[in-house]
Amino acid sequence: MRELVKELKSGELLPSEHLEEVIEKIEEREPRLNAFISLDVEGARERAKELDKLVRSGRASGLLFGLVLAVKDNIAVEGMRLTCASRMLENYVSPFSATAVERLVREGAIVIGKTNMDEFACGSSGETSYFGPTRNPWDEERVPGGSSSGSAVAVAAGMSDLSLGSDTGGSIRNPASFTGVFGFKPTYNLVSRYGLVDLAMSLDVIGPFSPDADGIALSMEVMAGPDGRDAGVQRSLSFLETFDAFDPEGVRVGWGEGFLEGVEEPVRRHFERFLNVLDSIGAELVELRVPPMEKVWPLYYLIMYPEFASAMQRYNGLTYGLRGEGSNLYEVIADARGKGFGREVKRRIILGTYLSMERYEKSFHERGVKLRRGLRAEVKKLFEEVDFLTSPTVPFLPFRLGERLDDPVKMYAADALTVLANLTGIPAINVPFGREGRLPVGMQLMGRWFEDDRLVAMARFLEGRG
Amino acid sequence: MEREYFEHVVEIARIKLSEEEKERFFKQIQEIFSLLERVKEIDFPEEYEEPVENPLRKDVPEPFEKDPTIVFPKKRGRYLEVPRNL
Repeated sequence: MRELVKELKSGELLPSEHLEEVIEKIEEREPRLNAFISLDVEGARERAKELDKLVRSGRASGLLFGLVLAVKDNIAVEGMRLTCASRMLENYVSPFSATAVERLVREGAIVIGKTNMDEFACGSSGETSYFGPTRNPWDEERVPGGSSSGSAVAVAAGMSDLSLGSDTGGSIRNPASFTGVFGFKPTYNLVSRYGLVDLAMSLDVIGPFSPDADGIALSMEVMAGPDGRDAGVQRSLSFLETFDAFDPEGVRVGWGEGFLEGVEEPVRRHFERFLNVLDSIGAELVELRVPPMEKVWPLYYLIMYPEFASAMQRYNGLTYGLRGEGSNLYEVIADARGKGFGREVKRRIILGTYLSMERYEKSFHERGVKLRRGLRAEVKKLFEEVDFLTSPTVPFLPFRLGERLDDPVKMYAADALTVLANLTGIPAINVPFGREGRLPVGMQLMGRWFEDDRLVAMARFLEGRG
Repeated sequence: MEREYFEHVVEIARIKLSEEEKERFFKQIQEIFSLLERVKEIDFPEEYEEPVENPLRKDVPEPFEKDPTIVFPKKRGRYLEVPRNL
């Protein structure tokens, strides 16, 4: 990615020439793929022209100079719609930009549009959007994964250089795996969440998609670090410095059967190949007793539902959003929410409301919170023995559109291996690794808290090795 | 979950549902509960909380320089027009 920025700065390829190439791709593929909810082609052209002028006058600067960026539609970009792929916010326009977006734009990125997603980030397939499903660019009859479906597809199909997504239970890594790109979930509290519409506040993070590991390091270099508007973020890391200096020789990588139960055959076979490649680049493989994810992953839903129901209370249609009808306040609110939300969002709100009722607090949510602390202790112990953990990213290959849409339990199984990083807060990355027929396969690497820079650097050595 | 209690939860969640949706969700929610039951089979001997400092800032107001009225497209003179609540 840095090579491309160099070309754009030198004038070898003008930002507006590059942008036109990207727009051509969008014109060609977007009508079928449906990766975007809003496009701002004219705004992007104007900005590219300004950047051209800087090149001509020899003043081109910025780490992301001239790169085309797509932003998930639950992350605010000033003056653009922020719909969360919901009818509830169909016409909502954001008055400010998220810190992550602001920082990338300040370094020269051009925002091309807002990407499609599962409604309010609730889904693992990209199908629950009010604006229709996104399709997988490698097989248009299959899902691209979710919830950051459009952001993954935009990068995979060359409709943007980089993109932003959000990851609460796997929403960056899952579509990255299904579309064959790098997708990174940073340590919780490394990137400011200011301007991100929350799904579950104790789990949500913003992270990047890129066709290469270099693009992940580059965008993280810019986005990570303290922001007065999200007080939780206090630490910073030097991604590029670590990226250029890292040596994988002797690095210890752990894996275990607990990660493989429920993983389907083709993916399991690719994982075995992945372990061989790790060995070949000098990593030391360590088999560990890891948490049995088939039993652990429902814990994610136990924690997430109540937080989600709470976050969704603000959408009542009274001050903004879809307006309801009725003869009393209750009816007006219930009507707006009944019409404004899709099925999966409603299901989750009902479940979250139920789990947070006093009658069940002790048996469910409280136990969930305690188990999460227990899981963190387990993971901390594992990281005393190894530098990284690895597993497949998703237990199966991209499935057909519609196949799991009204079977939530089957749909949720897609998150079995990604939720560990959210529940514990550790960083995790999807490394595209080979194909099964046309369909991409992805492998996951997880690292210690705030060792994100080393994790991304490690991923680079696995690039193109599938 | 009993059906009557389910109706009560839906009311508290403030979502108007059709009968068809109620049927569907009631059934699916039972399935999801049996999924959640799986966590009863796990336990961890120790607990760990990632240490977090509570950062405080000086109590100095910072102006919000953007125009929040973009959210309210209808304006009358100096006023924002919003729908009647009732």
